[in-house]
Amino acid sequence: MSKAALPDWAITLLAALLVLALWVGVTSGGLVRDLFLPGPLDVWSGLQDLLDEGYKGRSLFEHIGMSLMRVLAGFLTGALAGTALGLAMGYLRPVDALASPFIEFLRPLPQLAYLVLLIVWLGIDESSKITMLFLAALPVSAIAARDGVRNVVPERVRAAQALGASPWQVFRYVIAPGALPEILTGARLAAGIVYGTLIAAEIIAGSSGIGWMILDAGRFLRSDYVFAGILIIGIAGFGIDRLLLWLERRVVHWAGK
Amino acid sequence: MSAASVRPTARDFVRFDGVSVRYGTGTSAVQALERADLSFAAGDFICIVGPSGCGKTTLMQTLAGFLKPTSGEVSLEGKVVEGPGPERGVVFQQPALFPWMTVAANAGFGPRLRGSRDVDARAETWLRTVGLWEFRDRYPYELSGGMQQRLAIARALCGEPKILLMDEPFGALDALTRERMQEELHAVWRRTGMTVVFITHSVEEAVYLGTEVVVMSPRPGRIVDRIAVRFAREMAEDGIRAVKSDPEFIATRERVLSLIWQMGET
Repeated sequence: MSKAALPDWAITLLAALLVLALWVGVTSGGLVRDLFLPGPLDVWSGLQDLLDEGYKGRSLFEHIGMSLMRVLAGFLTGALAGTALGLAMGYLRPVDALASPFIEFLRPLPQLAYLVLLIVWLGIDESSKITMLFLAALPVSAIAARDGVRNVVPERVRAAQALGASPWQVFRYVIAPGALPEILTGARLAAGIVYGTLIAAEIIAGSSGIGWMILDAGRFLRSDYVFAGILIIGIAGFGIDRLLLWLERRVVHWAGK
Repeated sequence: MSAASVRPTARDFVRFDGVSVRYGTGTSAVQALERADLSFAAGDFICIVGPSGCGKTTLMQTLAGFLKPTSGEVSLEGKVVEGPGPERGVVFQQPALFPWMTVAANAGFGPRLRGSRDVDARAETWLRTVGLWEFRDRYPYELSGGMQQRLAIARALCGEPKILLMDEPFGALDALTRERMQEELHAVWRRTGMTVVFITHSVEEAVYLGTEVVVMSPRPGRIVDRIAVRFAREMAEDGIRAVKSDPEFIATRERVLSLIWQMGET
């Protein structure tokens, strides 16, 4: 490494600028057709359009709001139910024996595989979409919580027992907080998976949501809208992850120390 | 006193009656402890020494209630031990503190579980005793190794146990910290008259801290000798340095060491 090595943030910034320059260079020279890759200015004006006029009867923020509502509903219900189930699985062997085959089966299953079934069972409105996101969040959260319980330092449990803690008190004051770092890591993972499943959920017939907007605009070859939508989804996803990371560091301040 | 007739004698404050522990079954079974008989009085400071695998931790765990003997029984004040309980405080080699609680919350954990009203006062007393009062609002990971172990001891004592069980509590500390902790523990023992069972790898530590040294041998784990020691009672006047250079101290230490040395050769 040379002495004049750049700081990390400068390398990051340079990389971003390089990609932007490439983008401008390739598109402005007419090298690539608009349809395949719209230039930054096209995307910008597409975004302006969306902000001013919305998309097919709804404002851009309505679409974003609908998507976030679905993500939030699916994530919260799935992560909460998964965590509760996982805590029980970790603490009570029979519950683990009962639930783990289903959880282990569900976890690697691509959500698109059961998309059709959800439509048949639940119809095409919100409930099938949110159920899909719920099912995406549930197994990851359950397994994180179960492993968190199993990894609790046994001496801590014994220390609490020797101080007179009942099984419930051991669970409440030692097992649950001991598993919390892994539960929160699992929640972040689940949020990522739910977010990734959003587009699939919004394939289910409808006329709202940022994922639906991207799919619909793609069908009409509006690449500028597609790109604008991708940018929005990417930035919002990054923001959500950072928020959860910040929350995690604040709540489990002791983790890794 | 009529009560004395139904009570066990002072010598039977703690009793191990033919306690055996076997891990596993069939050919892979390990006899961790074989028919251990041991009893001692309230106020004793019992040090248990022996090579690795001699069952000293197993012996303590049956008294703590973490482990059920395969046969035989352990009792405290005539009551058979059925499981862990607050009358038996435990300190491990690793402090096993609760990192999500402050130092004060760790110290007061035992009384708080029972809904005691004087949790804060008791935590304060013991935190002051071990010199951690000014760190009460910190978290355990902000303390040094020695301070963490002092907190673990304060937490155990704050539960007001009748007996304190310590499994190599100073094993992970550096030599200087270790010596200071030994003196502090000893001061607490002299002041409170607490009964202590103390497992250690260090024969020297056992001989000057204990009122009695119990020597154990491995495969199968059994008690081979018990040696009464007088230094623990005298240390208050003479100080640790004087004790360590006392010829009788050296003779006792050599006796225990040679006992353990013989085991290594078999």
